[in-house]
Amino acid sequence: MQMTTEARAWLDPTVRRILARHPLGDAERAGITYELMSHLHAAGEARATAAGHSEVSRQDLELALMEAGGEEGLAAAFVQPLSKPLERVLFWRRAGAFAIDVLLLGIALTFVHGGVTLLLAPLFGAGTGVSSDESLWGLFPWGFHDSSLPPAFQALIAVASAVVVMGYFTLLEAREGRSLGKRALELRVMRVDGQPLTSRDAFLRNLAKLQPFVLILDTLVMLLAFPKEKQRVSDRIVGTIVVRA
Amino acid sequence: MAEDVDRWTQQIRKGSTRLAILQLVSERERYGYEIVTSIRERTKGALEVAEGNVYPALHALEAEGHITSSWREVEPGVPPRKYYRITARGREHRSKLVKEWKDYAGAIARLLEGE
Repeated sequence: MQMTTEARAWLDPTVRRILARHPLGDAERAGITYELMSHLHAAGEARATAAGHSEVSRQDLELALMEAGGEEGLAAAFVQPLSKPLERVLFWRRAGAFAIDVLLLGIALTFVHGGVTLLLAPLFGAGTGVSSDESLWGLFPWGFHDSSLPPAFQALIAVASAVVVMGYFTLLEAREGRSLGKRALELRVMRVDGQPLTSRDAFLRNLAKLQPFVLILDTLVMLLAFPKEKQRVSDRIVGTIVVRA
Repeated sequence: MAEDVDRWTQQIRKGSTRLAILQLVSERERYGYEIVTSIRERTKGALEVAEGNVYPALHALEAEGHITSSWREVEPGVPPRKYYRITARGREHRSKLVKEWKDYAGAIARLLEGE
């Protein structure tokens, strides 16, 4: 039996929203999404038939959802048997994912630096021979400090780089639950209660990635003090974990 | 007291859901919601199972290789349905469960006859 336009517009996003809170592999998520949609349609169809309607309405679907235990009940019934117990990840896989992210960001930043230099270098009188031999590389490697540029201009590039790096991690981890490196290595970040990260969570847990020594310290403390919790200090403060998924 | 009975009944239901599912899909292939309603109808409501029990049981039975599933288009514009059917292994498992069930029910019946 066909659904009304309204019912159709409701079904797909509702099911995806219900499942969005649960960590699932992509293949499993697709399978459960379809089965849940299929179930709600079939249950709604039974209601519509009983009421003598010729189409399944949004109300039929909503009642079917309530009958099946509401959003939480249904999600639990479909998801629980399929979701493996969450396995927190300690070091190697996360380091690998970070290496991939660094590589991708390095490529992107080359273009960003080039663009900024091209647009703004004349304002700083770069290339006029005024230069600094002080390398800020150790302080902020994302800026790839070119010591032939004036320090103020290096600082500007550093700020632009920081915006790109933080934007990348914050946006992807808050929206997708993982950066591209984590995706490649089947990792996912979530709050300890299983909820997805907010932008604030994602921003804060990634701040340490701006400065290598801070990140190393952050990670060292994890390995020494929290090998069971498998959380960097940043993760502990924000309340986030990295899991296989 | 009534609570005790409830809990006991719940445990029997939980155990019989697997057998009920195997029985239904051994007759012909069926989709999830159909199994939920068939159990209700066939037992005249005595075995009132929730979606929350049937789907986990289906997924577990599938993972154990007792049933398999396939997606089928019903009509365009409507979500496809996942049909479950029994495997050879599932048939064997069902026969064993039926035998166990009958032996057990018979034994309990004989026990109660002594009253």
